[in-house]
Amino acid sequence: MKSRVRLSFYFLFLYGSIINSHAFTFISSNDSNMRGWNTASIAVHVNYTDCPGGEEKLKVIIDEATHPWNEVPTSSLHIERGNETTTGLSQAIANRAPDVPLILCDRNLTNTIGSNADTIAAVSTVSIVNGNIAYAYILLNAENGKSANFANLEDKQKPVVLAHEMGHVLGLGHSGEVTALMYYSASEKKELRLSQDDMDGISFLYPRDEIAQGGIFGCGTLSSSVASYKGFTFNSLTALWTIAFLAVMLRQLRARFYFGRKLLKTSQLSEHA
Amino acid sequence: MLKKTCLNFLISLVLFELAYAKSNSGTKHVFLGAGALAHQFEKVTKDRSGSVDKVGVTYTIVGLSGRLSLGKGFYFNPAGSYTILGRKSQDDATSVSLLTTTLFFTKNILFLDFKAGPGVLFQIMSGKSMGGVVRSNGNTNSTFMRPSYSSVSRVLTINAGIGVLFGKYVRMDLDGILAGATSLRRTYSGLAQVSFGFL
Repeated sequence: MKSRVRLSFYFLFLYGSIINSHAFTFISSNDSNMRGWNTASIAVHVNYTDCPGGEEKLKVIIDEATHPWNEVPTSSLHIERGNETTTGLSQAIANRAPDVPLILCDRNLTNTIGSNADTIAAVSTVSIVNGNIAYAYILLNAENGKSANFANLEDKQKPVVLAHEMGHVLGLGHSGEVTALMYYSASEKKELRLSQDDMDGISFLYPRDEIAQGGIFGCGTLSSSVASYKGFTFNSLTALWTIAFLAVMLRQLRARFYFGRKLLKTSQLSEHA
Repeated sequence: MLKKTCLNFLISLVLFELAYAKSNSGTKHVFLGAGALAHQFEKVTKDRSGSVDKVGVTYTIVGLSGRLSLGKGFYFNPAGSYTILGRKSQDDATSVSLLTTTLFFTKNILFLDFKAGPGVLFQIMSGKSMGGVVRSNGNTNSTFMRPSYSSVSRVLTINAGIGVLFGKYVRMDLDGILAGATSLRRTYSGLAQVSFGFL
């Protein structure tokens, strides 16, 4: 039996030694210390004017594109479609849009980006101020006669392309992993799913902290102000181990008193005898 | 700093186990083991076609667990495990390790421990300050920065599993870990571990 146990031990060790790789980056070209938006709850506003396919279809595509980002277990990010806006293209490009992040459709993308928009279905622009994203917008290609016009994409590709651009708006750069949604050529990807690398990137920028956010299981009994050490709060450990220690202490005290009384009774009985 | 936190946690676990192991002499109460953690079943895509990775990412773990009798076949099992090798990016720019902590309440029937309890899963990610990397971007190339700081996620979990006792010294544990139970973020992970009792 011993050898069987040893064998299973080796198997488990080897199985777990397979190390996956990933390589996410930030959207910034010079700030390796950048964070995402200063909130993890983000509404993307939309100007539906000039959008190919119409407003209702685009709404469905946007909702679909937000889903994978909202399903990352180790991230607190929640992104959703926000209100309709009248902010125009010139206003957005001039960094004067009051409601960001923002999605717009551009009928003259070639002119806006200064290069041929024949292969670009969407572009995003992100501005970082003091380490946080402060301004961002996505332009969808609505240029007539261009093969990369958003309307010309396959139905399955549309949310993939938009989710990729949302990744940029959230702070992620291009990934080196070909399976990643944030790989530079997202349009080749047919299914809207995140790779481990995408999940790592978004968890890095928007880490989930269920202890500090809402107490244990949402009861709110343990706030985030318990203790912290160089930015790492000990709430979870403190809470769990306090409960554990109390349980053990009570158990030990009970056991000690119980055995103490039992010993006393035994000695009294022996004295009587 | 984060490694230090993990070390602190493991030291506190050892001290905790020692504290009660001493008062319950007779059977083994503290187990040290190794095994594998499969993180996030069917959650991530593994190729360009979009098919999901059924097992998720697998890690090698070392674990420490205790077993305190509460009477009538019930036990209290604090347990922790750490992904000792972690995982690194191809360019070594980031590393990821996981720490699982659980407070199991166990019912022992014959040689089987049926256990369930709450836990916290820590995902510790560290950027190695490797600067920028040039990647394709539309019609040209652009520089994208790689992270230079650390980020920690703390996720509440509900854990359940079975422990098989092979005599006094050896046990094998199979645990399921459920995170984000009531949300779209719900994910399942699995942990298998062989442990040896030493106290």
